[in-house]
Amino acid sequence: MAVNMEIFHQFLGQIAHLGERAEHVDLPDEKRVALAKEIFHQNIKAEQAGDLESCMHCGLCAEACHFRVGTGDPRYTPARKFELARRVYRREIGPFRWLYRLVTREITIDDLMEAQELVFDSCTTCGRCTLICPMGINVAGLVTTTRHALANAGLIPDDLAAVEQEQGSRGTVFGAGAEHLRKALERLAAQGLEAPLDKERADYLVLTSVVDLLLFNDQLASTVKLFNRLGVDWTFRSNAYEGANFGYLAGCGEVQRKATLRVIEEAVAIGAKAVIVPECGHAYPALRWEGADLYGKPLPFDVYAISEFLGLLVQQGELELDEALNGKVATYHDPCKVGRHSGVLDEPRAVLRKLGADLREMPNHGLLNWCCGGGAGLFVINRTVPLRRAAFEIKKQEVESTEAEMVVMACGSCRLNFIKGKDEMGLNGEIVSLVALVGEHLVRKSEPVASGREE
Amino acid sequence: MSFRPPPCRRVTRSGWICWVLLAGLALLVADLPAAAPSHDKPSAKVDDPGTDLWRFVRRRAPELRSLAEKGAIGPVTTQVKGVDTSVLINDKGQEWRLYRHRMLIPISAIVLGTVAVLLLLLYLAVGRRVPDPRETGKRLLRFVAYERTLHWFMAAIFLFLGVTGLTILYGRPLLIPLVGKESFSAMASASKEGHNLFGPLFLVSLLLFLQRFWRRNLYSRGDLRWLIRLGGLLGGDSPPAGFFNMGEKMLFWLLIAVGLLICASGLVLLFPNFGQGRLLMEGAHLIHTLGAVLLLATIMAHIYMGIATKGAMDGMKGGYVEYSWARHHHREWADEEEKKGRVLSEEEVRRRFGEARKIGVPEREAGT
Amino acid sequence: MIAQLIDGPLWLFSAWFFLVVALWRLLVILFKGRPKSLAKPRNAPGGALATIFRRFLPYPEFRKVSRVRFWAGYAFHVGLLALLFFAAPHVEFLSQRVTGFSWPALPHWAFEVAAELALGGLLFLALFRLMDPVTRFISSTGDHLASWLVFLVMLTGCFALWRSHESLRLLHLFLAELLLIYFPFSSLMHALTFPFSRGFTGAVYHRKGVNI
Repeated sequence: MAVNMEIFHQFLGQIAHLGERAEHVDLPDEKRVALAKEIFHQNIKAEQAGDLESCMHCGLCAEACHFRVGTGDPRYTPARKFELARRVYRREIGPFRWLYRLVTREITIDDLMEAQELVFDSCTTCGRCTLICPMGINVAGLVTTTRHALANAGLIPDDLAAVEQEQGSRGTVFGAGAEHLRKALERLAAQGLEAPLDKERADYLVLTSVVDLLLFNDQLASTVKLFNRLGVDWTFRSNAYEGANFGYLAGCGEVQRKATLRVIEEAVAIGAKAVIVPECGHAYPALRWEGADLYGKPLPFDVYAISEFLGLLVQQGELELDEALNGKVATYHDPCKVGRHSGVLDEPRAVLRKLGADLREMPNHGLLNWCCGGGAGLFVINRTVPLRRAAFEIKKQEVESTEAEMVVMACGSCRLNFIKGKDEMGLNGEIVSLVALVGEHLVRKSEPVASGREE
Repeated sequence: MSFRPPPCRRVTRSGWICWVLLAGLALLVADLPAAAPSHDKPSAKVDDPGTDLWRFVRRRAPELRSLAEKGAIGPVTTQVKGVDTSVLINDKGQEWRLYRHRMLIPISAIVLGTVAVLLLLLYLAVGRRVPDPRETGKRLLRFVAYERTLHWFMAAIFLFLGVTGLTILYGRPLLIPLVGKESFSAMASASKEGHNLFGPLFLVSLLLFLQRFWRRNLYSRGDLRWLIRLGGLLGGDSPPAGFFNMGEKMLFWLLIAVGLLICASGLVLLFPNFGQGRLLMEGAHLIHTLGAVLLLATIMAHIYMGIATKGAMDGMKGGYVEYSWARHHHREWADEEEKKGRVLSEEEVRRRFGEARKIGVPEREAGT
Repeated sequence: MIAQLIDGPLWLFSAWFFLVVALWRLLVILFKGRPKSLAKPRNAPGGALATIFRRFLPYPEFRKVSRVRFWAGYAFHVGLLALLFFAAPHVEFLSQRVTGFSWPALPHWAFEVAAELALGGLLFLALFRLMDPVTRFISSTGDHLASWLVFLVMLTGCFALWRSHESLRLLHLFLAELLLIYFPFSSLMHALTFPFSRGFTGAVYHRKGVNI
């Protein structure tokens, strides 16, 4: 299950030059401010208004934020990350705005630039701050709104903007498109792993991601193995295989919508009963929680994260796994978007226990886990390296305190960040993908699988 | 490099002046009359039945009871049972009143005034010329936020209690001439209520202080040597000290001990419904006031030292101190911190206060 | 003349002002509406009330870092609520001027304990806000003003204990009236908006299968 470090470093090299490809829109500063305000006017409803009225700067959120704790810099306190939203709300949306306009400064381009660093560079919208906030403020929601506002103003950081623009205009990510999917599946077929592609009808539409195609081949291979073993009617679709949604990450509503609708329409076209989202953090909430609103009606299929799906199968006795881990000490790193934000906490652990692992939890695990620091698109924003290092230091201590031989995770972004962290800062323990681990320990059945394909 | 540091002088000339003044004050205080005039005058050799009557009327209950037991007088009872209920006139009250007005108030005022003057002289002689600590660009974390908050919490309560307490003590001679009786009445009432309410809070702050700092204030080797040289206050090199020097340690334990005494006596005064007699209340009042005056004088000196010792206040404001200051005043602690790798750069400290430069965000071009 | 102003018109104005403006703010929040989510929920609607109550205590993992604010915060809040609504002078004032009916008051010793908790807790928190690098950095003028104004109101209340001097009582009442006018524009509104911020967040997460 080792990742090819040469390819990994090439991938990092590609990321280092992303910003050069970003297209810039020339806009006067006042126009940018107006565009940003538009989004706040649209999006701030009762929920966010209640949040913005309730913050009394107690500072507790600073104790829960990996960037603030890791750097010791109070500028990264979560309460500051929605300061722009709060000022716009006070001056233009909330009650007595006429009074606040007299005592609050007008928003300027400098405020937008400061907010850019706060919401793109130093926030992974992990939501841990919400758990400590005595007022229960949904900081991640406010940061997401602010990202949308800045995106509308053309102020997405260049590196992230480049990927978002590519996905929006060409439907590819990091230059990888349907061809790369085909080639990857051909390579698997050569190893004896046949994966259905572009079936007209199927019960399960399985997604993957460009990171799996380019780097985490073990995840792709295990996914194919798993679905073949289950004997269900499933397929990849070359028109909609990408789980990652860079519109969602960059706050660009249009690109987010495009990418999501592509998957939904494809799933509807093939009559899918369920869509399986790969190991990719944000891909799950993008489809599971926001897909239906973009589609305009409830989705006619279920959406599962692969880790969730595996856990449910294990809990329901539908998946046979050997217990070859044999008491190997393992710890589980919860991806924030799938765990804290979506409630998939028990399922991955059920899989690890079924595999026979001696599961040792980190001091902060499950709902309270520390974010690895690489999510929400931060991994592609080059200037966030010092921040990510500071955050990873916390995660490293958490993992090593368990003395686990391996740290298992179910998110490609986390896995990338962990590998980089281990490479640069060291980490005791192997970095393992949950689905890749499952793929290695599927118990062989005596009869061939229902779909007629054998391994 | 062949630089040699100048030899260290033990006590400077201005230092000698201060020692002489201190000695003079000690002599002055020792010369004051010892106690209030006694009321036990030899009785006039006149047979007046009225004298006996008044003597009995003034006697305290225990004396009357012992006379009754001896059969000198009949049984002594009162309808209302309680402490001091059989006392009709208590001349000890008059003694106390005179003592308070003629001794306690003026002498405590003199003590406090003298300490203030001495501190001023000290400042003029020595304090004015204390240089700022040498800028090294390095810092040490001395007090965390909780400790600093605790300090200022106690300081605020102490100062409040001091002001309200002094209003009660000196109000009549000092404030009534200034603001008139009506205004003073409101001030005194407010002071009494405020003083009574914040007193128990001072006890809480003392206990929290004790819990947090007791270990760092235990005696360690070298403290006595530091004390003999007065920490280099009157000139010369600062002798080595740990986290807290002997002066600070003495202040701490004095504060705790006298503070607890003040609190105990204060509680006796605050809750007079546990059978305290007048004597106990007067005693509590005396301990309370003497303790408070002692602490006020000491804290005045503490405040002076905190301001005059350049670089000290940083520790209590932001929590970080200049490295050279730490090496000069608390060498052993500074060395330990260095060994543990806890010396910070000025930039790191500024970052912790939110003053770091932005991380590599490129300058935007105008108009884009 | 000033005394009559403070006891009469200013009291009426500040009380009504507070009620109207605070209620207005709350209604504006509610009437902004909530977009309905079309995603298939994991849990049936709910979760708001549970989060409102659950959030009164920190998660065990956060106990250490929130210790100071937890203890000082609760000392202040519990003390303040106790003395505001159950101290005998306040019960008398409110029953005569606001509610028209009375309720049992705290015994005097309990009133004093509540007052000490409230004053000590708030003093500690107000100082901590200045000392802690994070709160020092993020606090606005309004945050400090709110802390010290509430402290002053409580302090003057303490001075006016036993109602020995009308001037002291009026000073306390005057500052309380200023606070009532300032309250709806300050971060003190968290006292009334916290059910909304906790409740909405709780509902959103509950829908996704997460109980926070």
